[in-house]
Amino acid sequence: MGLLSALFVAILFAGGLYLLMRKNLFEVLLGVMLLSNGVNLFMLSMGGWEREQLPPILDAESRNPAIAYADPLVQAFILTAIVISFGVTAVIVVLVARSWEESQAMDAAEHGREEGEA
Amino acid sequence: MLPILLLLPFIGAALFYPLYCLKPGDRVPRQLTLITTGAVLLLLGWATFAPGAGEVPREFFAEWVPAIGLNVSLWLDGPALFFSWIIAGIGFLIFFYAGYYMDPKDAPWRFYATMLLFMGAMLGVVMSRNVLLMFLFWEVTSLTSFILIGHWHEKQAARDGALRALIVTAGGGLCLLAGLGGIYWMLLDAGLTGPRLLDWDQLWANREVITGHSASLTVLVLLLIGAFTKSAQFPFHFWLPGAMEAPTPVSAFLHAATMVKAGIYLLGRLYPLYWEEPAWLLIVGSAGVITMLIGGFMAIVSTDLKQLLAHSTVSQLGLMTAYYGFGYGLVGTEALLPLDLALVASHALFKGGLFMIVGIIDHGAHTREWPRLGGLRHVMPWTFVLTVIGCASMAGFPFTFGFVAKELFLKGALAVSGTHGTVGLVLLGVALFASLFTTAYCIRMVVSPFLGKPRDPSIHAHEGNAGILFAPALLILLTLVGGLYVPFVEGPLAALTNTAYYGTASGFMTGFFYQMDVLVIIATFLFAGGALVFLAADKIDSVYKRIGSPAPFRGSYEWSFGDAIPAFADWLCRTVQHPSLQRNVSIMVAVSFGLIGMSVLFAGMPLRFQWDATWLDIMAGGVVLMAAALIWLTIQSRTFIVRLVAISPVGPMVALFYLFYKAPDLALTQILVEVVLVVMLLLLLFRLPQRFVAQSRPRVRFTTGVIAIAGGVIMGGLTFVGYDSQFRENPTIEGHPVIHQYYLENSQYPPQDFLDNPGLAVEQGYPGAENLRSGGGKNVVNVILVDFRALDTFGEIVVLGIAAIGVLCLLVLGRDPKKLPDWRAEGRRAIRYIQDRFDDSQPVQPPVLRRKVGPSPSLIVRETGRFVPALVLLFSVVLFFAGHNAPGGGFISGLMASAALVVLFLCYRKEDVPSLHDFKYLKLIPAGLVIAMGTGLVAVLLGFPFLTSGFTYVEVPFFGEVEVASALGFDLGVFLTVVGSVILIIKKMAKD
Repeated sequence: MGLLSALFVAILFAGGLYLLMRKNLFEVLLGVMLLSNGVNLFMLSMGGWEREQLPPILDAESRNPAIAYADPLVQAFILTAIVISFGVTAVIVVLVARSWEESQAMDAAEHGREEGEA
Repeated sequence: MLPILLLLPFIGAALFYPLYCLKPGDRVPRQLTLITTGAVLLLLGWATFAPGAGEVPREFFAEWVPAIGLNVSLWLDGPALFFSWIIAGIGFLIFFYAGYYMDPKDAPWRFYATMLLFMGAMLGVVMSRNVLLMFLFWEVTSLTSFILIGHWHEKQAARDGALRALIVTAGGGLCLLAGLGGIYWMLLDAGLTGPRLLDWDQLWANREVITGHSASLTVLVLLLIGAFTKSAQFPFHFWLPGAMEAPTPVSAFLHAATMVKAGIYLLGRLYPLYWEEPAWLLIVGSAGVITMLIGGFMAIVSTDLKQLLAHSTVSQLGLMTAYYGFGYGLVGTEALLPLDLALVASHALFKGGLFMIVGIIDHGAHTREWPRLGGLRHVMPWTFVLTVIGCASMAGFPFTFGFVAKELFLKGALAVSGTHGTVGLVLLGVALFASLFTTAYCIRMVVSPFLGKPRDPSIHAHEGNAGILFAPALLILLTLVGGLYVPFVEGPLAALTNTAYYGTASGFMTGFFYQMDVLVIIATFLFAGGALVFLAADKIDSVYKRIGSPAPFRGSYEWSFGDAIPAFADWLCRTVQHPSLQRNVSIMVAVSFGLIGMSVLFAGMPLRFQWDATWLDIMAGGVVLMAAALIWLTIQSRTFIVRLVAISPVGPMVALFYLFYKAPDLALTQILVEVVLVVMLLLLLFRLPQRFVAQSRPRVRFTTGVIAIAGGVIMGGLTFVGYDSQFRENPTIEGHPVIHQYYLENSQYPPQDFLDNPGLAVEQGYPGAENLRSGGGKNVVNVILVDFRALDTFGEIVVLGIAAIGVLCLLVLGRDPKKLPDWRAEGRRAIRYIQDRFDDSQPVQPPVLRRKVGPSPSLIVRETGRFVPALVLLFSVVLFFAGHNAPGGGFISGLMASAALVVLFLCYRKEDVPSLHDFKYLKLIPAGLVIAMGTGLVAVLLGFPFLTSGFTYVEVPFFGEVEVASALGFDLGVFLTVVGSVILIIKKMAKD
C-alpha cells in the first residue's frame, strides 16, 4: 500500500505541477485540483496504514488498545482541507471565467504582460 | 532623574503634532525646541553643579529584554556628562541660530521635531551604559541624520547625499551590532551571566575574556567599522562632504559638533578594552592619519567654503581617531581620555562656530564659492573677526583652545614614535605632513573671502544681524577663553571626568602651556610649512585637476550602490519575478520542491519495504494506473471538454484510496465535493471557447515537464519513506503518548459507571482512565472537527463563506455596466413593491422578472428530479444526526444537501418554483457562522473555554436514550454555511 500510495502521490503531483506551470488558466485550475488531491493523499499516508486497521469509529466493545484504528487526526485535517480547497477552486473557476469575459484571454502570460507594461 | 533627562527631547518631539493641530504657527516649533533643550540643560546643570551633586543618582537600571542582554541601563559618568553638555549646549545655540537662518516657511515643524529627536538619540548614545541600548540610539541618529540631510528634499543632490550618508552609517551600524553580538557571545561562552553583562564597565572588567578570544580581531574590526563609518574615517570618509547639502544648522550640529563625534566617543569607550592590542594602533592610528591627509588635501582644493569645512571636519576627525591610535604610547587609560575630550571640545566649539559663519556668508553674499568672493572684511567686519579667531583655533594658533588640543596630539604622536620605532615615526611623519594642510586651508578660509578686492561685482554682501551672529560669536569666543586661560578648560574637564566610574585625572594639563619646549618649535614649524602649502595651493589644485578625483572609495561606493546593486536587483527581479506568470510559478515550484527534496536527502529516513500483495493491492494498483492514464489524457488533450471528462474520475479514485485507508468520512466528502466541482466546471465550460490554441514552446514544455516529474518523484519518495510511520510501532515517544491516541481515547463518552467511579475504570484498564474527558461521540473524526479542534473548523467555515462572497463579488462587481441590470431601477421597483404591499388601495404588483425563461428540462430529468432530491435531502438529515457517532456530520450532510438542491435547480425552472430560486442563500452563511459562534459563546458564558462542548442524554420516545451534544449546534452552523456557500457559488455561476 505504501508503494502504491507513493506512486499515486507522485502521479498526482507530477501531473498537477505540470498543469500548474502551463500558460492556459484552465490548465492551471486543473493543476490546482490535482495538487490538492495529491497533498491530501500524502497527508493521509503519513498517518500510517495497517492491513487490519479500523475506521476511527469507536465501538463500545472495541475500546481496547489492541485494536488499531486509523489515525483520526490526519483525517480531520484532510476533511478540512477538502472543503477549503473546494472554496479555493470555486474562486479560481470564477476568476478564469471572468478573465475570459474581460479580456478574452486564457493565457496567464498575457495577464502578466499587461501588468508588466502598465 | 536620568530617564527624565533622556526622555525630555522625545517628549518635546511628541508634543509637536498636537501643538501643530492646535496652533500651526511658524514660531512655535523653535520656541518649543528651545524650551525643551533649556530644560535638558537645567537638569544637566543640576546633576553637575548642584550642591551635593554627588548625591544625585547618576545611574538607572531597568530590565527590558534580559534574554538578549538588552536592558535600560543608563549612567552619567565623565564622558557621558561631557558629551551631554556638548550636545545640549551646542544644540541650544544652534537652535537659537536656526531661527535666524531658516526661512520660517521652510517646514519648521518637521525640521525642529527631527532635530529634537536627533538630540534625544544622541543623548541616548552617550548616556547608555548598556551597549545594545547604545546601538539602538546609534541607529536613531543615523535615521534622523538621513531626514535632516534631505531636508530640502526637492533637490536631487540633497536626496543623494542623504541616501549615501544613510547607507554608509547604517551599514556601519550593522557591523557595530555584529561586533557587539560577538562580544556578548564571547562573554556567554566564558560562562558569564547577569543583567549588567553588556554594560560598558562590565566589558572593561572582562577585558581578558574579550581580547583573549580567538575571534577577537574580527570583533574589533567590526566595532571599528561602526565607529569609522559614523565618524567618516577612511575608507568611509566620502559621505560627509555629501551631507553638506543639509541646511547649515544641521551641518553645524550633526556633522561638526555631535553626530560625527559618536564614532570618536565609541573609540573612547573601546579604548580601555583594546588599547594594548597591536592591531588597535595599526588600524586606528593609520586610518586616522590617512583620513587627516585626504581631508586636508580635499579641503585645499575645495572652492565651496562649506565643502572646505566639511573636508576639514573629516581631517580633524582623523586627528581625533589617530589620537586614540597613538594612545598606546601614553600611559594608562585614565590619562588619555580627558586629553581627547579636550580635542573634542575644542573642535566642537570652533567648527560649530565656523559652520554657522559660513551660513552667515551664504546669507549675506548668496554664494559660498570663495573664487567669487573677496574683500568681505569691509562689509562683514564682525564675521571677519570671528572667522580669524575660529581659524586660528582650528590651525592650532597659540592662545587658542585649538593650540592646547594640537599640542596634546603632538605629544601623543611623539610618545608613540618613542615606543614604537619605525611604525610610530611613519605615523608621526604623515600626521605632521597632514597638519601642514590644516594650516593651509585655515589661511585659505581667512584670506580668500575676506582679504583683497571683491572679485565679482554682482555680489552685494551685507553683514548678518546681531541675532544670527550671537551663537557663533559665543562659541568662538569660548575657544579664545579656553586658550588664554587653560585652567578655565582644565577645571571643568577634570571635574567632569573625575567621576566614580572613570578614575581620577586631575592636573593633566598643569604647567604645559608655559613650556617653550620642542612642541612649540614643531608648532611654529608647522605654521611656516602651512603658509608655504597655501602659497602653492594653485599648483596643488592644477595637479589635482590633472589626476582627477582621488576618491576611489567614493567611486566604489557609487559603483556598488549606483550601478552594481541596482543592476543585480533588476536582474534578479526580472529573472525571478518574471512578468510571465508561467515562468514565475515554475521558479516557485522548482525552488520549493528542490528544498523539500534536499530535506528528504538530509533527513535520511529508513526505507522499509515488504512485498505482500493482496487483492486489495492489485485493485489499488489498477486504480493508480487508471489515474495515471487519465492525467496523461488531461495533459495531452486540446479540448476543454475532454480534459474535464478525463480529470473528473481522478477525484473519486482518490476517494477510493481514502476507503483503503479506512477513512469513510473523507471518501464521502471527496465524492460529494467532486460532484459539485464537476457541475461548477461544466458551468465554466459554457463560458469558455471550446478549443484553445496557446501552446507553450517545446523547450518550455520540456523544462516544466522535468520540474514536474522531479517534484512528483520527490513527493512520492517522501510518501514512501514516511508512510510506514514509526508512531505505529511506538505508541509513545519518549514517554509522551502519540497525539492521535489521545483523540481515540477521549472521544467517546465513557460509560456512566466509570464516570461515577473513576477507580473502576483504572481497574478495568479503560484507556484514558486517569483523565476522563470526552467529546461524547463515536466518530472520532467528527468529534475532532466539532469539539477538540472546533476553532479550526470555525475558521474553515469562515474561509468558505469568504470564498463564496468572493465569488459573488467577482461575478457582480466591476462588470461591464451594459451587461448589468439597472440596479437603481431595480431598487426603485423593489421599494415600490414593498410600498404597494402596505397600501391596500393598490393592486399588488409583483416585481417583473427580467430574465429570459430558459428551456424546460427533459421529461426524464424532471420526473427523476421529483423524488431523488427528496431522498437525498432526507439522507443528508440522517447523516447530519448520525455524524457524531457514524460517518457523516455537518460538512458531509451540507454537501449532500447542496447536491440535492443543485439537482432541484436543474429540474425546476424558476418560474415553476420561485421560492426555491428566490431564497436568499447568501443569508445562510452569516446565519451558520452566528450559530456556530453562538454555540461556542454559550460555553464561554458557562465559564468554559470558547467552543467547549457539553452533552447530555435525553429520553426520546421510540428512540430510547439519545445523546444530545452542544456540538450538534456547532455542526448545524457548519451545515448552514456549507449549504449557503455552495449554492451561492453554483447559482451565481449558472445565472449569468
